Amino acid sequence: MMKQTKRYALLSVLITLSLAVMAQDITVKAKDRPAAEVFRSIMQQTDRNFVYSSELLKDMRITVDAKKKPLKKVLDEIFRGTDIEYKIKGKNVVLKKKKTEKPKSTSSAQKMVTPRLQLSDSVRIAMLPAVDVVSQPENHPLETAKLGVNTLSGTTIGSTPTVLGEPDLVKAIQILPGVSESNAGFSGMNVHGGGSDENLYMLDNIPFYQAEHFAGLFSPFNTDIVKYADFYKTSVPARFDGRLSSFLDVHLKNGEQHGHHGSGRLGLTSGAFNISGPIGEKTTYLVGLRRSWYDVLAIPILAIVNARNQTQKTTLRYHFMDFNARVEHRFSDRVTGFVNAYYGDDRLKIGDQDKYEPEEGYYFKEIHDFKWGNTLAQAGAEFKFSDRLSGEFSTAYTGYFSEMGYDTLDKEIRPDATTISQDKMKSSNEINTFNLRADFSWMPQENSQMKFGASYAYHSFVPERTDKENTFNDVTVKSHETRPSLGANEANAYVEYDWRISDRIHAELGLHSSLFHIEGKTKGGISPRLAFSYTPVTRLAIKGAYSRTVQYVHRVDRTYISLPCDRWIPTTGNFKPMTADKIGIGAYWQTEGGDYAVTLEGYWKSMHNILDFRDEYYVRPQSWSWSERLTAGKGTAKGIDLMIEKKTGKLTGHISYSLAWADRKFADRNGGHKYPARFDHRHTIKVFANWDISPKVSLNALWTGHSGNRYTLLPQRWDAPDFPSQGYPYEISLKAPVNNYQLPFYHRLDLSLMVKNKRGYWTFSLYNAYCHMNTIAIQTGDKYDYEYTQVGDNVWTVDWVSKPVFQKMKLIPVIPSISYTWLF
Amino acid sequence: MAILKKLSPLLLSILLTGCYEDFDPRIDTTPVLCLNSLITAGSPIDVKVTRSWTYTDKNGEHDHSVTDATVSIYANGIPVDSGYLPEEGDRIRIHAVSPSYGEADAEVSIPVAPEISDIDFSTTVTHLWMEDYQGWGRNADIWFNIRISMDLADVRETDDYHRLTYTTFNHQGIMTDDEEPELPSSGAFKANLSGGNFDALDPVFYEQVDPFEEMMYGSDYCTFFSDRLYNGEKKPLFFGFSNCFFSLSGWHGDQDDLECGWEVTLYSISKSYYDWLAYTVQSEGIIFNDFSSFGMADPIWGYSNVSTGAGVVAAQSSRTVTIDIKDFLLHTLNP
Repeated sequence: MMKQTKRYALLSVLITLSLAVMAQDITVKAKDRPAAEVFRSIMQQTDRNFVYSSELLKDMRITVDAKKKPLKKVLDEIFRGTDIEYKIKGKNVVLKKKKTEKPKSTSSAQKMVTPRLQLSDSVRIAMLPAVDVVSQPENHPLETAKLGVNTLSGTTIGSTPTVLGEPDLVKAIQILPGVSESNAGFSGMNVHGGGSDENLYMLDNIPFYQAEHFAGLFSPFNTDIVKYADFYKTSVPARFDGRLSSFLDVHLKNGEQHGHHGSGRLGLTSGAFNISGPIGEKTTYLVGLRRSWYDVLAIPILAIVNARNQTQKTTLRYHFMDFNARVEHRFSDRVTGFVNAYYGDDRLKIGDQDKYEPEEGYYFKEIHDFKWGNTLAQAGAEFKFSDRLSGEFSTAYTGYFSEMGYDTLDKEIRPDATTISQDKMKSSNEINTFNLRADFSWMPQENSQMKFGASYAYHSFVPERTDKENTFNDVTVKSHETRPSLGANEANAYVEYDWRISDRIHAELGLHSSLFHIEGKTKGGISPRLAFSYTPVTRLAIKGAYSRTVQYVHRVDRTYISLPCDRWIPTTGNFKPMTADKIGIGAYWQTEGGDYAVTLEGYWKSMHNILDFRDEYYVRPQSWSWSERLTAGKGTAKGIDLMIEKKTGKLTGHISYSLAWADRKFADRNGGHKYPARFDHRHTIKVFANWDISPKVSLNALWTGHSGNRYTLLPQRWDAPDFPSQGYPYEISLKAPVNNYQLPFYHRLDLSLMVKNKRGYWTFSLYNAYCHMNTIAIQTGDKYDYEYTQVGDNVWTVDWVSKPVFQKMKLIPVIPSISYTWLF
Repeated sequence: MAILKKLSPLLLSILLTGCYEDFDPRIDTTPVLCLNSLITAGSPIDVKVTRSWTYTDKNGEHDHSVTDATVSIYANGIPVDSGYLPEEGDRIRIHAVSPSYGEADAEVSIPVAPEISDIDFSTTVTHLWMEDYQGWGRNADIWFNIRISMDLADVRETDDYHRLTYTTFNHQGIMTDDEEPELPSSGAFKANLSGGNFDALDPVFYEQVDPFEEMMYGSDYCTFFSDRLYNGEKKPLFFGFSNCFFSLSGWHGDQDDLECGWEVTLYSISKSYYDWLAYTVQSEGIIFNDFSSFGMADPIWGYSNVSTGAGVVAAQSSRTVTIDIKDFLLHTLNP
């Protein structure tokens, strides 16, 4: 009886789904068009995703003529006679290779080139823990005019070697040519000679300000719930602007429509739990939570330390966390609403206090508290106005916050009186951005698509706010210092036109205009975009691109790592918006069947009005205006990226080589002379391999080698003056040209082994597997040795002397890690 | 207390996983002339000429004197001899030439001494002990706080920089840290003022304090400041001393014995002096010291206004005011 009920229920669901599918009539007309283009047309009309392995549709071209036919019928027509089968699962149309059927002869209604499929394709799909190959056909190098664009699926991100067991989206992007890590092991990046604050990180098109956890060791994206991420470094769609170097748009997975599914991951230092499912028939949800547990790991260590210390108790707690939630509701076939929320922060609490307050004597307590992160909320609706026109309207809030505080208490307890001295301080910094936007997509013809839209944003910058409270016995003095907050209005409008002029020529034209109003002044930017591709022969595309980007905010950071004292400041005063003009040319070629591909890209980028600290800025107090500490200048970057990929088979991966130059020139830095950028890596080689040893075991390896970072080495000293001063200087470093020294060649190997079982998979990783200690800085130190001096015939004195030496400082040895991901 | 004390095990763990390798960077290290001079209005000009040296030059650590340099001094463009006494407003240029190390040049203007007016102070007794011994006079211990204000005039057209110093005095004269006045033997009259802790009550003392550094290092106020916060306006400058302690024994009522207080000197200093002071404070902070050492921040070089990048030529002029607390002590001892 029970079985029968289940069967009926299942049957009902299938019938309902089939009816739903049947109910959608679509019109598709294509003659020998790339499959991706046809699917894009269907996606526009049905709002369904196509899910397939990227190898599956290589070189596939479709001829179909369907007018107001149900989706299922159209799909049947398209795939009839091929070795590809499809299944409609909720919003997804999943394509995969048929297991037994051999391709039949093509009918007269359709002509297509069937791709050669590898057994591993179907195996990989079967092994995938979730929807992990994604429909982004417009970004396939042969299908798009764009240059320097990559789409990374959740699987790709998950298969890159990890640090401390934590898969990381930005580190997966660092594998690409033209992208270098800002610091070894960290997630900041420099793209084609740009600064690390010139990359725009977005979650479903809403920007992040603080894109780093744990001083930059991890990015804020929970990769377990990432569906795919689009990364643009040369051709930039006109809908994006606001940063000079790159744009990373991260898209979360859609909520599961059939049952509640998710994953849980346990690593050495962090874990994540994600779940998604339906709420009723028309609503889905997705919730993801990730948290580190360094604080939990520290508990037993601190317990031992505190147990051994009879008088003092030490506090040390650090964690980072992020929370994602997405709810999507389908009001009708034409209207879908959604709400996204994100909260992520880093928290460090550290201090110590006396365990007991004595009856007579001293009591001491000191706590430092740091907290910084992002909050993001978005609500919107997608409308399908017609088969060819759709739009999305959304409102969003994105904010960055940073708080630093301390609380110290000194008590002197005497028989007659107690003296209390307490100092509290809290310093905070915020940016709040409220955004309204409307985006439209219109397909006037089968071979063209237009996207256009506009947005308005209000930014509130609170550069510094400090509250102090000093108490001495019963007298408390409070002070509140704040720099005036700055409000800025920003308006943007764009139009982009994707036009397949002929079978061989494809162009994408775009224009983005922006206005930024702050302190009574309005600054503007016009950002034209152009990309074209020419396909002289099948499987070869020759491309060219030009893009201008404009940036109105700048991150002021005195260190190379992410700290709560970093500040985002707007372009104010006499500074002009930063701009970059980039020209790229390149070619993409793949073998028949798409087993191998070669990408070659050359670029030249000119950056204007970029900001950096001026020489000796550190003698200008922080309380003075930023314009007195910063200087505007220009930079150039040029280079060639070559990548050879193996895309199919048990062993996949790529080898890339980059030849690059990056330099800077500022009026008030390095005496006005041009100098190489810190990440001016002349040569970079990356080798990435993914070996599917068996259906259950895969091994990933990444070898990175590049010319060393540039470093400012100060080899000379001079005598400090003997004036009265507040510090205690002795020998002073003599100024030298900025970045005058190149550190030794950097290289390391990262390995990751994934072992799957019925419930999930284990991940074992080795960062810097052969433990090559790379030089990260030059220090000065002393070397101690015996010194022999002859003072007479066969008479020597021996002294133990120190000799000043320069030393290469080498950090980060091999770091092993392990994690387990449970799928349900 | 610095947070670094607690973070040091973490930093140490990083250090333990790292290693160092001695090497010769083979980089240009041609030595240059270094000029150091603090020119004070009304005092002869003294210039110290040395040379820079490579960090690894062990000999250079001990001897970097220059013996073949010729130094020329110009006041307002006119050459002057070593006996010249500079005045406020003078533009002093120092030029040195050495056959071995080349030339060095620096120029500085002597700032006008600050105008101080309306000096006021108030005191609060926090603890008092008094006892009279027949024939031996009065003994007393007074703990108190003092708050001082003085008006400082400022000229809008110029960027002005100042430095504050102080010292205590009693009826026997100025007391310095290393030289306390000689006190009579036990049983005889003694009076001593311990100046307490400087209270930087005015925001100008904090303009060089970075909240992050303050958080990490517990860095405190600076006794030098610029006129940025009050440019062109009369500035009431607030400061004080807390936990001051006056000790008295064998006092027989002579009011002159209670003559004591503070001598506060306010300097007008040149921009080069201000920048040098700022450098000495910032270079000891966590950003430019610790982070830089780990390759996580750019290393910084020393501030210099000499053409070679080595040395500081600075100037100053001063006004001194006296804060006499005799009346306060009299009132406290004879309520």
